[in-house]
This record gives sequence, C-alpha cells and structure tokens, in this order.
Amino acid sequence: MEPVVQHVWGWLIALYLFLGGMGGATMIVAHYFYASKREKSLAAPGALASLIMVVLGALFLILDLEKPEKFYLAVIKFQTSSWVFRGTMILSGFIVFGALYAAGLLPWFQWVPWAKSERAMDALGLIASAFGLLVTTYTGILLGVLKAVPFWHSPALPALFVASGLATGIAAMGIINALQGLRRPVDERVRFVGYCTTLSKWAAIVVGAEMFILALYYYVNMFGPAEASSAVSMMLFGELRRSFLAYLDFVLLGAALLSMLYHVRKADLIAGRDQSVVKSCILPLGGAILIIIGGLLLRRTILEAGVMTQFAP
Amino acid sequence: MTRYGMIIDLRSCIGCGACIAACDMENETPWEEGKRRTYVPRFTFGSYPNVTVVYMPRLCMHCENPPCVSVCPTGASHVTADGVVLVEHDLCIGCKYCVVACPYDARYVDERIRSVDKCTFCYTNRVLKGEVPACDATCPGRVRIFGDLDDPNSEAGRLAASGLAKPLRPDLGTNPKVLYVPKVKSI
Ligand code: SF4
Ligand code: SF4
Repeated sequence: MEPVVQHVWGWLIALYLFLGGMGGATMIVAHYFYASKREKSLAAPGALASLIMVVLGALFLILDLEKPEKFYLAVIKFQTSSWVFRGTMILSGFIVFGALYAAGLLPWFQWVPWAKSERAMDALGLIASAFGLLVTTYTGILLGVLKAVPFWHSPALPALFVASGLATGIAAMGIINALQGLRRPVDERVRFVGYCTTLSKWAAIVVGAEMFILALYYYVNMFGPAEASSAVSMMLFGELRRSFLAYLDFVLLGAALLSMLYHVRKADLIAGRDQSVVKSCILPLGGAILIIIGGLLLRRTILEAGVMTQFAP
Repeated sequence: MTRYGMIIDLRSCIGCGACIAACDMENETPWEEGKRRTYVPRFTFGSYPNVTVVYMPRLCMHCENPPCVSVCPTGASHVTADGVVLVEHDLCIGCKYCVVACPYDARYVDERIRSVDKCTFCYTNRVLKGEVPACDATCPGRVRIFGDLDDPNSEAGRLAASGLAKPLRPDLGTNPKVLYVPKVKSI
C-alpha cells in the first residue's frame, strides 16, 4: 500500500520546532556562562538571542494557523489535554522568565531591581533555563504523542529533538562567542578562544549523542509498524534521502570542524603557539552554522516523513 | 442514551460514488481531491483470475475516544451528547493538530472558511430533523446503515450487537462508531 504522508505541516512548523529547540537550549548554555561565573558578558547576548529565537518560532507557529488573528483562543480556552495549549503555557513561561532574566543582564535595563542581586539573577536564570529545557523537549512531545503517525509516536523523538536542540543551542552560543571575541582587543580574545574550545568540545559530544539516538530511533522504527518502517525507508532509500543526507552532512561536517578545532587548539596550547583568527573564529563559525542548518533540516525531514496510519479492508 | 453510529456493509458496495456526490451537495464541500467528508477508495486483492475488488467507503469514525478532540487547543472539536464528533468552525483556529492526530485521515482544511472540516453525520442539517445522513439516504446498495448503536430495535443496533460489523484498527484504542461488515477475511 502507498504510504500516505501528512501534508498539513510544512516549513513554518519545521521553523517553529527548530527555533523552539535551539532557543530553549541557548538559554541553558547562556545561563551556564553566568552561573559558572566564567563569562557573564556572554550570558546577556545569549539570553537575548534565545528569547528572540523562541519569540520568532512562536510567530511562525501563529503564521501557520488558518486564523492567526484568533491565536489567543489556544490560550484562553484552557484545553489542558492539548499539547498545543500546554505548549503555549510553556512558551509563555519561558518568555516571561527569559525576559526578566535578560533584562537583568542587559546594560539598558540595569535599573530593574533584581539586576543587582546575584541570588535573584541566579534564580531567574535557573527558572528560565528550566523553561528552556521544557520548550526544547516539548517540540518533540508535540509530535511524539500522536499515535496516528507511528514513526513520530516514540519516546526517542523528544530525545532526538532535545539532543539536536542542545547541539544547535551550543552552536548558537559558539557564534555569539566568536562575534564577541572578534570585537575584543587581541589580549582579551584569548579568553573567548578558550570558551570556543569548550563549546566546540560540547557540540561534538552532543552531536555524538544525537547520532546515537538517531541510530536507535531508526533501528527501532525499521522493525516497528509498517508505517514507521516505510518512513525510515523513505529517508534512507526513497524520496527523502536527499534531505536526510543533507541533514547528516551538515551536522557531521559541523561537528567534525568543531572537534578538529578543539584538537588544534589543544595542540597549540601544548606547543605554546598562538591562536590565529582563522582557527579561533572562522572555523568555529563555519562549524556552528553547519550544525544549525542541520537542525532545521532534521525538523523538516521528520515532518515530511509523517506517514499516517494505514489500513485495508 | 443515544449513540449514533454507522454500519458499512462492504459486501454490497459497488463503488458507484453516489454517496460522495450526495455528501458534496448536501454539505457544500470544496469539491477537491483530499477535501471530502467521505470518499470510496478501491482495493484489489489477489491476481488474475482470482481477483477480489473491495470498495471501502471512508468517513469520520466518530470515535468514542477521539484523539482529534483531546488534541484540540480551543475546544472547537467536540463530542455531542449523542456521540457525534463535530468541529465548531468559529472556534477553530486552524492549527491542524487534529488533522495529524486523526488516524483515519478524516479531516481536511477548508480554506474557504479557514477551518478544519469533516463528516458530521449531517447532524444539524438532517439528523436533528429526524432524517438519516445524505450518504445513507442516497446509497443504492443499502451499504450505509445509520442509527443508534445502542437501540436493539434499529438495524444499525442489531448489526453492531451481532459482532458481524467490526471497527477499523481497534488496536489504536479510538473505539470507532463506524463499523464495517467485511467482504474479505482480513478486517
Ligand atoms: S475518525 Fe478522526 S476525526 Fe473522526 S472522531 Fe476519530 S479521530 Fe476524530
Ligand atoms: S485545527 Fe481547529 S479543530 Fe483542529 S485542533 Fe486546531 S483548533 Fe481544534
């Protein structure tokens, strides 16, 4: 029987899932730089970028509605059984706490009372990060609860989206870090090169975890219900092969670039060599951008592989 | 308590499509492929000369445990007291979550009204006036038998109780109220 694929969710929802995943994770990494006291100046642009990503993602979701002007009904009707409603609650929590946290970090809002209190900022950052994790996980749950699409109906899907969200979030912080580093005088730049090395290592590890979850997810589905295995076949051998391979290429190449940078940096440190701008900024930028594009392609490919339940008389 | 449902006798369906036309006229559907409240796909089993053709009328199953209703964030998708699953177009924001949540491919987006739509069993336009749905009234083979599944005196109720009519994919836990009398053994 010809597989019937869902056709109502396209690029806008892919962008929403991607930006939600990346934005939520970026907040977590940004708060790490604040809470660990390693570089508070990275937390501010990180938190702001994270907020912008999630708000932009929510805008894409609203744009995908047939009646965008009535989006508020999804909030005020309080249909607690719906993951769209639950998602609006999670997004609202993230935006509120993320904005409070970002305000305390940004130079223009230093007049807010909590900006001076480290304890208050720590608590706000922690809450915003927890909501960030919820946003990232929720994008996977939204699809994972649907029995009508057996390929999506798996606990591995939220896990895959969390791993991909974290990888793209770390990559986004990598870009912010590189841009911050480039703006600094040369003697300060070395600090940012150090953060870049840390972020590169994390990204490579998380992409490794993402690949492991992906392999497990595909293996289980390959031998799962007919609809799920035909979705996997479409990706590995069929019409989705190109977008699936593009996703793999982008993410793996990005991770390879970053882990190469990590090893080059380590070798340079041991040999006492200086870091060139190419090695410390351009390479990680390239790697980070590749991982981010890969994250978007993953969401799009998974949506396109939404084979619906089948039955015959 | 009334529990509206429909029995579909696959042994009698000849795939004439009169039900589709009747539904399209009655409910003014968009008249487009993939945007119909009911449709009749053809399945072929075996190979020449031992071929069996089955026409399988499809529509919303009016599930007792409808995933389309539990995923709806606005309450637009709801169930009436007599078990008919409906979409309130004014409340529907068109998130399309219900379209991907329905395992029976029963829903579509009607761009003209910017809402999701699907089979209503002709609830407000016919059933509440004491008539049967347009597809049932039109079918020349008496394939579609609408009625109260809990009423032992109705034809639908008797067939439902007989065990002859079966739900599609019971493993999904949706408890459909549209039941099929199979033509081949696999159902
Ligand atoms: S068949 Fe689909 S649309 Fe109809 S009640 Fe069941 S889940 Fe809802
Ligand atoms: S598309 Fe309309 S009916 Fe369907 S879940 Fe969204 S709001 Fe509810």
